[in-house]
Amino acid sequence: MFGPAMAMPTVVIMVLLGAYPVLQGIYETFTNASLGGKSHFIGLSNYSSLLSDGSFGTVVWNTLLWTVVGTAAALLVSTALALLLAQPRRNAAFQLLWIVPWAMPQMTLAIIFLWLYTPLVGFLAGWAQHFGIVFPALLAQPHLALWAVLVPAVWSTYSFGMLFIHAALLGVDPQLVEAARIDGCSVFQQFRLVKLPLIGSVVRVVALLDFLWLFNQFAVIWIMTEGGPGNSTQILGSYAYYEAFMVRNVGLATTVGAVMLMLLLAFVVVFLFLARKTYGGLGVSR
Amino acid sequence: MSAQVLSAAPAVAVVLPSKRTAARARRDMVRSAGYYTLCMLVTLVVLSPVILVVGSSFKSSHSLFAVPPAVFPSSPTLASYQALFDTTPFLRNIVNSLVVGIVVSAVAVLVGTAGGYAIAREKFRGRAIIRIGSLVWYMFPPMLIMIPLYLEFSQVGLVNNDLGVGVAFLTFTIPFSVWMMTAFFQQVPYELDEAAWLDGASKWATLWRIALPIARPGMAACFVTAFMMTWGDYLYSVTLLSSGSTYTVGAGLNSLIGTVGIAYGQLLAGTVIVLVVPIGILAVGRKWFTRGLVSGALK
Repeated sequence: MFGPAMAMPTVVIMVLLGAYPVLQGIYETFTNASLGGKSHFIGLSNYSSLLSDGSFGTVVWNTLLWTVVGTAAALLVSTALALLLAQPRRNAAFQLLWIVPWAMPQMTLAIIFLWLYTPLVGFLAGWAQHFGIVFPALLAQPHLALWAVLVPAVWSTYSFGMLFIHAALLGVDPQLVEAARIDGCSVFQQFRLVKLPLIGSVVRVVALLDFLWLFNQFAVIWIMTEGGPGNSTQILGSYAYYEAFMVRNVGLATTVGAVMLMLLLAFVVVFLFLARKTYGGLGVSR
Repeated sequence: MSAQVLSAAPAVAVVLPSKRTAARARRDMVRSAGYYTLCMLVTLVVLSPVILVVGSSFKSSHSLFAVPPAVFPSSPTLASYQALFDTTPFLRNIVNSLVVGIVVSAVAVLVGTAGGYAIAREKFRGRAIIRIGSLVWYMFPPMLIMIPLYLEFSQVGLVNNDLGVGVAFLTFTIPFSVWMMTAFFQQVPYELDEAAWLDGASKWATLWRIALPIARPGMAACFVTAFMMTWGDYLYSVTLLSSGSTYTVGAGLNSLIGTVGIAYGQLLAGTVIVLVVPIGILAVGRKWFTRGLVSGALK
């Protein structure tokens, strides 16, 4: 009984703090639960009201833009910096300095960018004024706010992937790259034709982790805009929070959470299906 | 390494110096200089949020809003820090975060080490479920855990209570530590444990005398990472805590972002304090963070 005894604390906590709240939450999607009120079973009403709610479409669209563009941007930065780090001339000090954003709590990056962006008195506005430019209120403009908020989110996302891709690049046989160079491949071709296929599986894992990270993002959005103006920066995570603690409609909030779960599962299943040839599931052994 | 391939030519060149090799050496030097300049520029951009916030946290309230805003103040002052500690219970919040974070991380490491050892070493029904379950749990939308948890906590008096926020922190530190310690024990050769059993040691003795001493660096890394996760928490702290005396640093910082106006000096000073801890940990444990982090996660 040694094994089960050792695993017991994990199982107990997993049931109490993982399975139980999730099942409770899924149950609440079928009720009209509110903060501090009685709840009744109302069937699928929460789901139908979400679907008929015009802002929900906006939120789903924002989530899609946010995660896809964010993941692409983070991957691009991660790969570019990893390639720089993997140069023969490399210096380990840069690697340490470039993972500092990973160690920074997300809320600190959000607060710093909130201050940088502040109109009139913020840091960027101050310099804009110095050069006689009016600095736009980035976070108050519906078509700009999402991208402005995405910047600190990507900032806090890229370093972890950079470490992974860097480690993978160091595993690429330099003779292959050298052979490609002698055969006349440009630096870009050396990357696209030799390095990228070899580190592809790691890049895919990084893409999955970046995606999950951005999909579950809350702190950056809530600190900078609380989802506004309007719903222009509202993604599913912040929308669930908004419904639960601003509108106090717990039933609808957990329904948003359940939709997140379904989208996440669908995405992970599709991802594992697409990646099934390169490695077995998430076990990630190269 | 391509460095070795490339350096083969200059090694010959030392014997027979020529115009061509001199040109190559010069070109190499220019390239090195270009490379380091680029790396310095990237470093400057990557660290710019930290540089700007640190510089501005030492400004007076007047110079904070000067046009153009300087990166570093000409006459640094601790006024913002003074105001932060005078007008808010931020010192108390730091203590709360430290206590809750250390206790939670210790619990997470203990549970994770036991669970990880069991999953990696023992064969029993359901261990695959625990392993996959911890990963799925970790990737779950936190909202779907947090909202029901909040309702439960409000019924048993765990809202606005540091014990409650500590329990809530277990929802992300436990799956992380179980996953990480499992990966760690899987890297430790199974033969070590086997040798102890063959010599007649019980399973408890094997764990105590063989596995735990080997696992110590893994446990330390797990503790530190779990602590950094709790220190940087925003969601649970902001939701569960509602008064200055119970705030962790996350909730404390959040309370400085008022709806009416923001006291930027205090907010930036608080942000710097919150940054010092994880960046300090990163600097001290730099070897592990640049190597162990990746190897642990990839294997």
